[in-house]
Amino acid sequence: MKTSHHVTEFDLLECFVEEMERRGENKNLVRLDVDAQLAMSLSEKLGCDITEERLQGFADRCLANEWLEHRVMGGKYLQLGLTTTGLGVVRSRQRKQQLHAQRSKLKRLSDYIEDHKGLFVALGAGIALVSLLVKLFLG
Amino acid sequence: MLMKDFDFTITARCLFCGVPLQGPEDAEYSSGDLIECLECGEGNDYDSVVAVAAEKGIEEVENTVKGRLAKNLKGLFRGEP
Repeated sequence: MKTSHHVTEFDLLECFVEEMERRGENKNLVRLDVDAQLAMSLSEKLGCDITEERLQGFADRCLANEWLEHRVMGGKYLQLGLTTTGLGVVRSRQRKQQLHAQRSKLKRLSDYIEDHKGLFVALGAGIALVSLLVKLFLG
Repeated sequence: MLMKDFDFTITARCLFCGVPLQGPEDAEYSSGDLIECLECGEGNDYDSVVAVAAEKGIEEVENTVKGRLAKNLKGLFRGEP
């Protein structure tokens, strides 16, 4: 059974960085084709189905944001390479995940409360209302 | 053509949305820091922002020098019969 992973264009950018690290080459030497083979490889890695068309949609976004660029004149999705900005996007996300994982327990609790403060406020209001009703009707 | 005649300003931009990064005037960032973009909320890796800005800076310097050289070369041949 495939797990649900929300695939984004950032997963496509990470493919390029992984290929760089696998080959031991910098971004200027790594070129990939955004094709059915890459879609299948990414599907296996992430455990979900990604079609070639969907992957090319991600490539369109990456090209528009200048995170990917064409390294040779050819097909729109052939021989694409990572730009410095694209590499920066991947590194920023990796750094964010790293910092996120290094948080102390207290910081995690604080962040959880911050992220769900609406829920805590609603819960507090609910408890206050119940207490008031209990006091009113039961003396 | 003296280097002091050139004045370059490079704006550090968010890697995600392209908007200029802004922060408190007294803010100091260093390698490993994440600079939050006020527009999109994404964290930008400091080293990557500097690398992109440096690349743009080099491109700007190159274009300026090429332009000045072309202008100077045109002037050299102006006086020929």
